[in-house]
Amino acid sequence: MGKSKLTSEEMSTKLDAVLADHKGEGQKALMASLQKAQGIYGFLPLAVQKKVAAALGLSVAEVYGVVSFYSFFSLKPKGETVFTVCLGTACYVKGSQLLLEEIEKSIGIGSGEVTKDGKYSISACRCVGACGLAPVILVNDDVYGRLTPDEIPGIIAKYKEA
Amino acid sequence: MELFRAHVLVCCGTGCTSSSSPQIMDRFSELLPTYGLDKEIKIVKTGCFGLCAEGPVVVIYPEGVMYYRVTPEDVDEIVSEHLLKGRYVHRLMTLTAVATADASYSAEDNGFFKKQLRIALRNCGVINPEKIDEYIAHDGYQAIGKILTEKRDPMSIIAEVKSSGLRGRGGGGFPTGSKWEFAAKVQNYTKYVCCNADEGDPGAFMDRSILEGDPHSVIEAMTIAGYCIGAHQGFVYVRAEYPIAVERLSIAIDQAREYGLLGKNIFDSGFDFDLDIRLGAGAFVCGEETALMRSIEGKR
Repeated sequence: MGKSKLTSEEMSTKLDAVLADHKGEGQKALMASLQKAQGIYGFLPLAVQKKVAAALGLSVAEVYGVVSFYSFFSLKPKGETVFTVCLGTACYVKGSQLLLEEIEKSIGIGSGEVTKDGKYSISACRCVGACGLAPVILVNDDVYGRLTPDEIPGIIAKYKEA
Repeated sequence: MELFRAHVLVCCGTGCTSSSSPQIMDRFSELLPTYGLDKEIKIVKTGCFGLCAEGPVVVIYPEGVMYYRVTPEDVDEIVSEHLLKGRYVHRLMTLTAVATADASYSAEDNGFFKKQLRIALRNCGVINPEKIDEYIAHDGYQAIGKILTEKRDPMSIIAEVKSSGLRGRGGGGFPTGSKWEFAAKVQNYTKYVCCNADEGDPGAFMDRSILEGDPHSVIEAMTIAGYCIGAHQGFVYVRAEYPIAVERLSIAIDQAREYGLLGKNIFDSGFDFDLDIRLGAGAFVCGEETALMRSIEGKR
């Protein structure tokens, strides 16, 4: 996530290639196209939604409706390093709210926000499927389990150096 | 065929992968040759054993010894003590989270597994889910092979499913045979087989365990369902949050196509069936069947 920076032309070419595969396929190809588009851009700005709509032969409203319905799709960019705290039931009862608060305090932004320099963002999610390790956080794609709030500063420090 | 005196099974389900089982696999692969054991001991990547809270789990056969909460550093001791000298590493053999009065050495005898009879999950944690041959070696694709080569009457299969008492695993426990019968009786429509793997209930991983540990069993079962109701296309709807399940199912579908077990004219019977994966996008409601079908169609 966000590691290999593409230029906007490169992203645009990649998106065109994805959409060429689904040209005119309509609604049935929408989810897959959006998932791939978000994989390229990291989020789904309006310009991308318009492109997807035009390629598939849908209205922008139909595309926006789907984008805003599913929580996996994001309308806002994320930070280079994304902290995700699982607030699913198992993690929640094991104290993941405290982990979230600790991360918010350390980074200085709230959940769902991005730092001004675009380096970090924090989000909450529902169940990553590792309840046996609860409470769990993800930093980009790395999983940290069985955590206590006092372990948070050490984990954050690892990503600040890098 | 190569023969091995021992097998090291490393759980690579989501729980154990999150607690570093890939590094444990790497450490085994690195160490076995240095002890000259790589020709006699095989490392197998498996699906979930069902003991995620005690993971990463490593099982060593033929003894069936289970090691819990293994770290990559522990691998040195397992190799030099257990695999080389036959001495068990007792400190890694105690269950901590699961209360077991009669915790014993072997996977089959330990109190957690002793009373279990695994039917749907029989292959999970036993075979490598990324190898179709291991599924076939455990009698996989025999059922669909028998049905198609003997040109069995779909209604007779449905009757058999009904009398087996097989039911849905989602909570409602709907009788599978009845569901197939209703679908088979509908005429004049193009039919599809949908597999609901949009598992969103906290702590419940029955769908994911199967997809990660034994994906071919899902493919075979959906093909049988397709034959019975007269469908030629299936969809598996999986949560995007379960990347390992998605990856293993994709591998399995590719392998099945390569072996001619999915696609056109399966087993030379004239029956066509193919499968596609549809990813969820983080909407809990899509686990409900009508919402799931709308989501497969790209709606909200």
